[in-house]
Amino acid sequence: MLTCSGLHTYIEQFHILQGVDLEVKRGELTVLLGRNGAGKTTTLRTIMGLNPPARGKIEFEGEVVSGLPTHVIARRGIGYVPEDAGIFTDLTVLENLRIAVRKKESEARKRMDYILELFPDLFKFLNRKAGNLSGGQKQMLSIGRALVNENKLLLIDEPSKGLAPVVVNNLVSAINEIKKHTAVLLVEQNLGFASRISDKFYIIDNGKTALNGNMPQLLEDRGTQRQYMGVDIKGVPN
Amino acid sequence: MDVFITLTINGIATGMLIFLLAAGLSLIFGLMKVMNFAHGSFFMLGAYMGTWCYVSSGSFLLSIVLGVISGAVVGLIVERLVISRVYNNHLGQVLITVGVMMLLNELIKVVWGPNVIASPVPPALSGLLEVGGISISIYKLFIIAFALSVTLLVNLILNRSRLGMIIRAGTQNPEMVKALGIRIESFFSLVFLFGTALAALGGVLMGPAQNQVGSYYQQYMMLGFIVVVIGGMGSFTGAMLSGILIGLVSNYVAWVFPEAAMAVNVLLMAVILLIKPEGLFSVGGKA
Repeated sequence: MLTCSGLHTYIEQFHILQGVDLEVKRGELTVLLGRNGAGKTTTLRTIMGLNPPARGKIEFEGEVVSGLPTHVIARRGIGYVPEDAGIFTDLTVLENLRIAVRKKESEARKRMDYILELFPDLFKFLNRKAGNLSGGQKQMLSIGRALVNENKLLLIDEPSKGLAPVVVNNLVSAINEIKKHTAVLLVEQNLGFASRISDKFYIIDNGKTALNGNMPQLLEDRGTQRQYMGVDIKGVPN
Repeated sequence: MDVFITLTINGIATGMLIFLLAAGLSLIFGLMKVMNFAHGSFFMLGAYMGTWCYVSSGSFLLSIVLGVISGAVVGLIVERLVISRVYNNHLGQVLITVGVMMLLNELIKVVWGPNVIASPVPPALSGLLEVGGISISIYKLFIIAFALSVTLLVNLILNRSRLGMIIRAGTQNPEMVKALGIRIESFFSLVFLFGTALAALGGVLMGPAQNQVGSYYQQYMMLGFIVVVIGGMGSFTGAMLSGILIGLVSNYVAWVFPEAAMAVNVLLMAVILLIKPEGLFSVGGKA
C-alpha cells in the first residue's frame, strides 16, 4: 500500500532523514520506534508532503506521491494525526469534524455516526470549542477527524503522549477497531502501548531505518529494545 | 457631559472605520502570514474614489459600491501579480508591500492631485440629532450603524459558512488544513481582496467624516497596525474591540492634548505587548 525508498529529508540545513525505507501493507498496523530526534515524526511529515523529501521515492497504492502538494496527498486517501493533535481550538468539535468532509452530506453523516460510536465522549462536546477538551479528547477528535473521509491509510504521531492510562486503554480499543478497516502507520515512544496494537515495527535511528520485523520478535529482544530505545518492555507502563 | 457623549460617539465611529481597515490586515496576516504594509493605501484609494464618485454623481450609495470595488480589484491585481510571488518570504513581503504602498500613493497623487480635496457629507446624512439636549452627528451615527451591519455580515460569513470555517482554521493552523485535503492557497486571493475591499470601504466612509481626503490618510495605517497588535493577529472580534478602544482613546486624548493622541495609542500598544504579546483576543495556538 505504502512504500518509502531511500528517503532523505532536510529541514533548513539539517539532514534529518538519511535513508528511510519502509513498507506498510493493507490491514496492518506498523509502528515506527526510536529515540527522541531519530526522525520518526519527520518520516510522517515527509510522507504527507509537509517536509518533502530531497531524495527518495514514496509510492502509495502503486502511484508515486513524493513531490505532490500536501492537499493532493491527503486526497489520495492518507489521513494525518500530528503529534500535537493539530485540532483547531477556536472551532467547535463539530466544526473540527465537518471541515474535513470531502463527500456528500448523507455519506458524511454515516461517517460521523461511526466516529461518534468509536469515541462516544466527543458526542457530549459537539458544540463546545475544541480548545476546551482534555488532552485525550483532543487526540480522539484528531483521530476522528482523520476518519471523516474513508482514508486508506492513517499516519498517527504519538497518540499516547501525556495521556492517563485509562485514556490510553480507550485509545488502544479505538485503534484496534480502526485497523480492521484502515492501515495505520504509527509513531510511538511508548513500547508498551505500541505492543498492544502493532503488527510490525520499524526502528528509526539517526534518520535511517535500522531494523524491522514483527512486533512479537521485538518484544522478546531486550537487547534491541535497550540499544535503540533505551527501555525494555518491563520498564514501560501500559 | 454632552462633550463626553459627543467624544464617545465620535470615538466609536472613528474606531469602527479603523476597524474596517484593521480587520483585513488582521485576516490577511492571520491566514496568509503576509504583513501588508500597503494596506493603508487601499483605505486611501477608497477615500479618494468614494469622494470623487460622490462629487461626480451625487450618489453616496454608488460611491460606496465603486469605492469597495476599486479596493477589491486593485487588491486582487496586487495579490496575483506581486504578493503571490513572495509567500513564505517575509523580508521580500516587507520590501515589496512597502514598494506597492509607495506606488499606489503616487498613482493616487497622479490621478487626484497632491492637495486635499473636499469630501461633503450627503445631505440626507448631514446635520445633528438632538437627544436630551445633546447634539449628535447623524453621519457619525450612520457610520456606526453601517459598520456594525458590515461587521455582523462578515461575522456571519466567518462563523456560519464553510468558507469562514476554513479561514478560521487556516488562520490557526494552515498546515493542518492542507493535511485535510484543502488547497488553502486557493483562498488567499479571496481573503486578500476581501481585506482590501473592507479597507477601501473604511476609506469611503472616512471622507465625509473628515470633510476632506488627503495623503495624510496614510497615517491611519499606523492606527490599523496598533489595532491588530492590541486585538491579536487573525482575530476579527479582537480587531473590532481594539478598533473601538483606539478610536475612543484617540478622541478623548485629542480633546485634552491633541499632539499626544498618537503617542498615547503607541504607548497603549507597548503596554499590551509587554503584558500579552499575542494580543488581547489572539486566535488560539495549535492544539
